[in-house]
Amino acid sequence: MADRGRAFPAAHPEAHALPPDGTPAEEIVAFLIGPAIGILLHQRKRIVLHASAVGVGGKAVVFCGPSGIGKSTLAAALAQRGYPFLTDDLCTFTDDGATVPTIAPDGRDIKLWTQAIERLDLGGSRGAPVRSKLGKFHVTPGAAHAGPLALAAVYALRRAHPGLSPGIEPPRSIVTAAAMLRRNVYRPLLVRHFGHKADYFAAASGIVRHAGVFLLTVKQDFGAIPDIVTALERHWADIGLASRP
Amino acid sequence: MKTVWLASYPKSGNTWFRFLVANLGADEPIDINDLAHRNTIASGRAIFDYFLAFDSSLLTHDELDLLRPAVHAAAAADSGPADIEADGVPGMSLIKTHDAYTANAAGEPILGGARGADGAIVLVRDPRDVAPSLANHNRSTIDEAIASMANPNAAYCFAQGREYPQVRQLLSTWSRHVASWLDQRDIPVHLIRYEDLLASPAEVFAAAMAFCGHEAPAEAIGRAVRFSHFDRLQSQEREKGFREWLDEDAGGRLFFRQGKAGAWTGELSEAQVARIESEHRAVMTRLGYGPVTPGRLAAPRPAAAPRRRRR
Repeated sequence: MADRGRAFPAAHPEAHALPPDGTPAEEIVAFLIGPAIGILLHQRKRIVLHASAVGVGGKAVVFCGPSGIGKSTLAAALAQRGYPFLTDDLCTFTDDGATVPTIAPDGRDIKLWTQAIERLDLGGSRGAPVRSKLGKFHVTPGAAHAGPLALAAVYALRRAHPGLSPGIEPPRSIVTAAAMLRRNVYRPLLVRHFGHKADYFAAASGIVRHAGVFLLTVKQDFGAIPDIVTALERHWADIGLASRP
Repeated sequence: MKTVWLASYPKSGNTWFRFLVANLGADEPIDINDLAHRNTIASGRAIFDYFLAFDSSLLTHDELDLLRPAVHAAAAADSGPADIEADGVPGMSLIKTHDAYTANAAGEPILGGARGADGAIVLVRDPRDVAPSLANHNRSTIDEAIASMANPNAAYCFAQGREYPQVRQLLSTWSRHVASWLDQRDIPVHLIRYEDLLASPAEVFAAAMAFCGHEAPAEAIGRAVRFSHFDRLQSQEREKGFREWLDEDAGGRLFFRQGKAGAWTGELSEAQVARIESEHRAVMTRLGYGPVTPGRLAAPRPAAAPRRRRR
């Protein structure tokens, strides 16, 4: 397998990356700032969700969900409208168990596919390719926020279908809410590997206690983004969060 | 836990078969939108992201093909996170795939060979019935569907620059797809013709379950067949839509369109029939789908006689 490259946890607190011989540095970076950082964070027992986040009225709003559901695209669309961008792909929670967890920006850009860049008209903010042959690019969002923000709400994105209309609703119970958060941990195999399941149980109940957790059902269509933003802004006003950046 | 592929070219009865399995042991017909929906297809990204422990979309299609055998082997050995649902019955996970059975650039079977699954149920359907159904599914003309069924490079989720919920799947031509499954020697195959499933559903379904090592009582098989009757599936779809038929612009087209065998006689022109039969004659004959147009097996073109050099 050596020719296929790999990153794996080594003796704490390192992670080793073994790229195939002759791999250009820029091809390796994508794996270091994604998978390898994920491993390092899990080694350090950090609580990491597979999510993007933006600032709303000075607080953090998080979007989690399965790959391809549109977490990054939604964060980019909100950043375009002036909501400060916090993080994309992996979202690290600082949580002491007693106070409201906070989300800190991690300094990375949003990674978007060519299709999303075109549909959101973000060509002007397009940066370097994530990898040379992928069609995915770093995009510098409208406004990045400097400081950590207290968590206000987590939205779990799911796809609308004939039996499920677009919209925002609370989960059936706090137990469902906590389970929903645990489903969206960043790389569950690593949580299992490091034996951190109990930490995530505790963190999920902490988040449910301190912040709103909601289901955000979306149409998977770029054309639906303005409606999603409108629905979110209305919801933010309803839950007492300023409906402005 | 056994893993069995439910392998078919698209529009060959795969979803219907999944309903038969889902209704096995049910007390009432399952809601069409309650069919398991994560990890129900071999190419679904969730299982790749889980076992690779990083974002599979960082990889090109060719790179993913190199990793697929290991991922399918890992998934067969450990079904992954509890929230990933699968079709199947207790002790057996039935995973749909539209991939042709092919090897990656390293020469390994993309689906992991015997490490990826214990066997495969291969569903085939008369390509003359597949063509109009595929056209409905792809929102294309029948001629375009026929061309796609003859394209050795036909694939799903192949473009770069956008994210798909699934990894790339090579379909190839209808003939090559079917032959790739029937001719591989890595795992045992149980072949089902759609037409036979339609004619004797209880018998054919029971035999398929027996192949999976699941002996279901005749009464349960009979109930699953009744609950999965085409008319029931179609009336549920008319009433509330089908979640696996995601396109908003279906324009009234139904996923559960006809569910018949031999409807092609009223749907295809003579030229279309002739084209399908000439392109797929060998495999059609092998499966008992007798051609109606006269013709010989498409023989390889005779090698050109060596040219004499002019003096």
